[in-house]
Amino acid sequence: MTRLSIAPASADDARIGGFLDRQKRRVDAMPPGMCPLAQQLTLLEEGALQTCGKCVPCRDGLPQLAGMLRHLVDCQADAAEVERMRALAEMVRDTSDCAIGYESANALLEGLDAFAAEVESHVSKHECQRSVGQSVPCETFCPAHVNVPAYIALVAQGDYAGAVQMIRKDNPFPTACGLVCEHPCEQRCRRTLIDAPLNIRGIKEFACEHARADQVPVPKRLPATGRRVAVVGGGPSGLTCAYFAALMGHDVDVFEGRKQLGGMIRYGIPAYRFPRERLDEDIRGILAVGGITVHTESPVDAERMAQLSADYDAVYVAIGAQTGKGLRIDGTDAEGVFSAVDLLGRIGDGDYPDFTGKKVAVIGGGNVAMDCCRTAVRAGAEEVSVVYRRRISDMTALPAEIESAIAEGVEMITLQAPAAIEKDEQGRCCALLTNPQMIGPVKRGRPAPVAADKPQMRIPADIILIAVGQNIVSAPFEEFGMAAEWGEFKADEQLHAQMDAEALAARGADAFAGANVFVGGDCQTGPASAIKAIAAGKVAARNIDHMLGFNHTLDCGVTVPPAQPNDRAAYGRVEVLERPARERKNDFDAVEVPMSTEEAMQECGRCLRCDHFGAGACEGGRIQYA
Amino acid sequence: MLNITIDGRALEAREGQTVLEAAREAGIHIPTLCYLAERSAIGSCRVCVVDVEGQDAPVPACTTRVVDGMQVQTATERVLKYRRMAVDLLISNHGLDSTDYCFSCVKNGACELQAVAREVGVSHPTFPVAQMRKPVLDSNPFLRFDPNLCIACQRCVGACNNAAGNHVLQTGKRGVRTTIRAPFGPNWDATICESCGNCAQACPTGALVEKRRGLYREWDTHTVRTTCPHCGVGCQLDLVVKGDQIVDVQAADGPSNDGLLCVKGRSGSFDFVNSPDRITTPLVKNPETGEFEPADWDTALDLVARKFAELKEEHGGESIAAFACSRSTNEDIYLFQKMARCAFDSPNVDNCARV
Amino acid sequence: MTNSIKDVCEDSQVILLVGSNPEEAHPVMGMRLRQAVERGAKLIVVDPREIGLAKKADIHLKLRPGTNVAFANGMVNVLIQKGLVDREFVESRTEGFDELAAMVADYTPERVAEICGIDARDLEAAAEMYATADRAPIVYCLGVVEHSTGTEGVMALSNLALAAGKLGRPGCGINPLRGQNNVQGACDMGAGPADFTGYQKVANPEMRAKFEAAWGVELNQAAGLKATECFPAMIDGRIRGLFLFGEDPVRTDPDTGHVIRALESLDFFVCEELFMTETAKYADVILPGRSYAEKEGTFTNTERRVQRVRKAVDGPAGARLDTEVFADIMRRMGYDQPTLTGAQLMDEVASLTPSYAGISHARLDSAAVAGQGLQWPCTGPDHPGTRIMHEGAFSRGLGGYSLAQYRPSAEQPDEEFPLIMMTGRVLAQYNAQAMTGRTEGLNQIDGTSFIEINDADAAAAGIADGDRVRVSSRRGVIESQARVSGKTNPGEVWMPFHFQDGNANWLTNAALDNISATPEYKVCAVRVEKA
Repeated sequence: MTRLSIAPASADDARIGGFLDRQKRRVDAMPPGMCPLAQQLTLLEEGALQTCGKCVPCRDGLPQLAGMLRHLVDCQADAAEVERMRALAEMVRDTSDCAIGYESANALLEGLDAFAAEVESHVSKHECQRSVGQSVPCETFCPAHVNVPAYIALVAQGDYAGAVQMIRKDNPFPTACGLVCEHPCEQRCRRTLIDAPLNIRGIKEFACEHARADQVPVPKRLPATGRRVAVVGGGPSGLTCAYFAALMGHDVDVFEGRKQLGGMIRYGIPAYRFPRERLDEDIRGILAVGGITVHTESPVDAERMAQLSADYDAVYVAIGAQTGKGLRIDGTDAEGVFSAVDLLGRIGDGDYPDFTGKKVAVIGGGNVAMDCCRTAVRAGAEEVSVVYRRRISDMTALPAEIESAIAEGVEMITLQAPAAIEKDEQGRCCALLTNPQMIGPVKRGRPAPVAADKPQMRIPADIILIAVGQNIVSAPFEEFGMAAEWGEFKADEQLHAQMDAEALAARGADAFAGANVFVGGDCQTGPASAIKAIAAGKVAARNIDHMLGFNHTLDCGVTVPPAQPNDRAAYGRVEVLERPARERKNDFDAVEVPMSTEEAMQECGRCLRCDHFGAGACEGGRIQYA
Repeated sequence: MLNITIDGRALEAREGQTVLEAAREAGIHIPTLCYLAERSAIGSCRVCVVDVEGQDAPVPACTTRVVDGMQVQTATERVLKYRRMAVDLLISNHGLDSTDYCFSCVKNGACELQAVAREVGVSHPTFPVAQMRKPVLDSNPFLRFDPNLCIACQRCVGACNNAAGNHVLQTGKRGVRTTIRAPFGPNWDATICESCGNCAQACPTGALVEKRRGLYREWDTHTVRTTCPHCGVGCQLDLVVKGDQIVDVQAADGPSNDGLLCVKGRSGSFDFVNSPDRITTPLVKNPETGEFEPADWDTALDLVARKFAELKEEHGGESIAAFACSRSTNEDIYLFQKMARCAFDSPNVDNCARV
Repeated sequence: MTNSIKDVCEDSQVILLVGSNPEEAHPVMGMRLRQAVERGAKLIVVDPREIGLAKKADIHLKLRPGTNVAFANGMVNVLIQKGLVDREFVESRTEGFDELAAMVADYTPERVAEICGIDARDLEAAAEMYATADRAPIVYCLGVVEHSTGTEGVMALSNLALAAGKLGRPGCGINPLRGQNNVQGACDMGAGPADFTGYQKVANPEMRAKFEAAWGVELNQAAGLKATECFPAMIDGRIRGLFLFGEDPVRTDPDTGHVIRALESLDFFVCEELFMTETAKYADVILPGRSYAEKEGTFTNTERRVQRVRKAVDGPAGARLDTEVFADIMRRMGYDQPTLTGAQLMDEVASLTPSYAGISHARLDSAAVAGQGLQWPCTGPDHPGTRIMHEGAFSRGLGGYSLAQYRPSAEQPDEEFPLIMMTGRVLAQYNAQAMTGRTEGLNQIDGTSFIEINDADAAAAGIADGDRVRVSSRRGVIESQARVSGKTNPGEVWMPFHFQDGNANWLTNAALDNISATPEYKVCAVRVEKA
């Protein structure tokens, strides 16, 4: 018999591991604006190179497909060749022995469908679609297109106020985003090629820590235009629109239903994540522009909306998605069962609950569920669990939020679907009954849970918080005539609200009614992130300005520092720390400990200045409104 | 027994049988290329794909086991198309230009790839043809490997590894460049290759051949099934006969050899038959000169009969010995010992069993 | 073979391979044994050389040449000591076990280890592995037989198989690999002094009468000599005439000098041959023969399987079918032998031979046989042949044990000839090369004489790998080329017997087995020096 060896079967498998990490980082840093067919080609060639060489479809078919696809990428293929490629890909997909072959071909076929317009452009116009072209990753992936390299360079220079001004050029909520942004800017950071994406949010938090938003002067408002803009909703989207419209010289009235401004970043995000005084800094900064009149506790109904549309030159509807979704199970009427957004909303106005000695169960797996459970811990609950019907890895909450909740003593009870709420004789809830689940087939990109053959579970609970999503209170606006689907308002890409002719006719309005209405933020997209809402506000302001016949440009008042050569040495990524769980779970104070100056400087030093090096220097390489 | 249908025909199949085996037993033809019974069933060429009711994608008949109630279609439009494409891909990589499109290939006319291509309807490659001029390995006295013609079906690998159990012929280069690492290069004699040629018999194309394969064309020959003349295993083989010459040997599926042959059986079983130094006339030694002189049969046999009769007469049959050849046939030996016992009256009959 | 190649290779759990190098001597069997090992069968190799299969063996007993009897007796001893004897089989199917037990009592593992030069623990492990397997064949070859104690070696192995109850079942048995394509058939056909066809005894008056009646002659009453016994008889004048049908004893028999002296002593010597062999040169008359590809007939392989030989070509003009020649000579000597076809001759064999009674060319060619041949005993036209011998009962009733004591080989090394020489085959050649030597490629693979010698012995004699060496024994001196390796143990050398440029048989000892008269090719004492 051959002797055995502890050496790996392939001498290089372990070494490849190190390079695989590089390969993954290369993929993670895929530049925005890539030709999707070029990406398909790298994917396909990777598949071809992974063939073991056994089967004809994979071994001989994939290289032939790659040759054809390269031809297509080079804009030299005709429609017939694309069809031949499709036919061969179907054969490879259907006759390959293993996933290396069939998944390569499957990806290509799906890619050809997904990017049909690009294929068409290559074949008939012999060029890429106009939208293809690389741009600066952080700036591109920030929905508000904040000039990230610029403010990082300003932070690096120690000009924190300049950094805040640079951020505010596109986003008047630097503090909110410094603390709670989901930071899509980091997802394709080119620095990933060397080590890891920059901690952009942490740098922003650091800048706002050292130059408070209400202390940094805002740009001077442009001469008054005499136009009036109504903003319905004082959350991040509405206030952003108000800020930019005011800077452009328009007069703005903000109508807010609640007691205070801030929307979900006040009434949805707990103070330990985003202390209220820090939110007030952003709001004070915004209002410092002047020309903004705030009307709190002024809910807008259909009649009022019609009035606004008639009285103002433009209206921006940004009412958010603020009511909690319910659960269709028995016992939700029990005492002790709350909607997550109601609980958080009350806290937003300073009404803190006392859960001392209580057992709390939170239903859901999103960020709101995490906010609820961590709030319950701080409200003195004896025992807090999150009950979720999928797995931890399927939760939509940010991983860091989940980790923090666990650290604070929250138990994650996964793969349990709520079945009923058990009440005692007094009608108080005493337990959550759940049906065990197993993770099953992937549906629409996510593995779906299916019933598992296991006994029902009983989770004792005095308080049950339901955090399974939010709804939009769209009815009054639909009555006014705005078109909506599933409660979400419809708008074009410029956020011009789409009107429903039948609804207009029903209330006797003319066909042009609502032509000056814009709509954006959560109420148009469904519950999303603060930065997306902010981006919508900015888009709305710009397009309202345009509708009003202007083309105002805004100067942020700071210049972009010149780029330094890249530091190519690899570093670890500096993470923003939280206070120790044993300490932070006892209070509602801010949990994060911002970066030190040394940490911030090291982090800024990793920035590759993609605005200067590479495609950022080209025409079309920037996503900037200026 | 499992009940299945193939092309609508209800069949009984045995547990553990593949779709291909069940089809072949029922006389239903499914084209194959990389499959070689008991040697290699790795399902690499996908020429034998068939559609199975309830399965999204076709499956290779050679590696798919039958299950009860299975409904198989061997010639749907889709599988016919896929088979064509598989063969198309193969011939595109087959180094056609290196043999002037089959013209100079020794297997032309006996090539399974040619036959399958014709069957599935591929007459020329539709994909770009690789221009190949890889070096041919031909230092082994009997075997030659031309990588340009190799379609990497790995039948030879199965023959060497699974059947001959020798593990010397392997795949090399791997991945899209997969080829066969045949031990026939300049260091052939330093390898453990036994030159048995089971690989060459397994090769469907002209890539791996016995060098003598070029000396005849398939249609010039006929075969004669016989038993190997070397050791006692009794391998069954087919002598390939062209005119009055044996030009090659192929292994037959005999009970003791299971389709295998060794280097002696395959390459040492016919040269001697054709050898120019065969004795073709009786030779009688001239007692004066000690030299052999040709004689006619009558003279020679008379001499033999007379001499043995004399010895029998003068010294008795026990003065004569007769040793039979344990290489010759039973019939020869039977008559030989009968001659010794009956005509020579000799008890000293033996054969070379001991030596 | 009591069993068939297929069941030995495919149905076995443990294979005990003794004195056999099938990868070279029976290459297709070698391939199938390699398959068996890969399938999961365990392999015990008992061989003085590091043969290829030893590398795949679970246990390799690299025993001293000529000590097989001690090894096999030792195995039986271990079976008894460890309670591994198949009591039920021994009691129901055999007789005389107590005598065997008494005889092997002296063959303790320690003593056998000493005799064989192996580790006693390996012997015990091998015995346990063999005995505890349900299906375990013994496969042996000339390494057992070609000794002055060869028959005892076979008996001792047979005792082992009986004691372990490994006979008469699939995947078991005692299975000699016969060296030549039709050596089994030659013995079956009565080409031996003691037997008519199918081992019907010449000494049995009933059998004699049967054949005398069938052949219409009175047969010679004298006891016949075995071939190896004939050569001394030629020298002393008892044998004066020889008809040699296709053999080359000058190259293949031991002690070549002695063989030549014997042939030169003959009054009349006829050779029927394809080629001018070394032996034919001494003949008075050479008759051209037909090769296997030029005639219809049958071979009987090592598993008793009778298979067809078919005519493919006419062969050179001038030669005649051997059977025609024999019949012609018979007629010229006054015996009325008609010229018969191969098929007719086989019918005659069948009519006289119970074990071949069901065999005919027509049946072998039939669709029913489907190219699978027929394994004797095949006692009638409907008998399917016998895949496994001794199922249920032995031909003599109860199986008997033949008590065989270990005796050292006839020739032992001494100061003058300090090395034990063994001989054997290489893959690319066959015996005296009459056939294989005419294929140029085979000569390219292995075409010249060599001698394998252990590194230590080579170093002591100042011999390097590839050196020309002079090899001498008490009988002769030849030159060869040294292959230095650890393949043989120190004190042992090995030579192929094919090559005329340094033929080992000038050296080998014509000491004969006292029962079968097989020469001791596997042990003689030699000296190797740098040439």
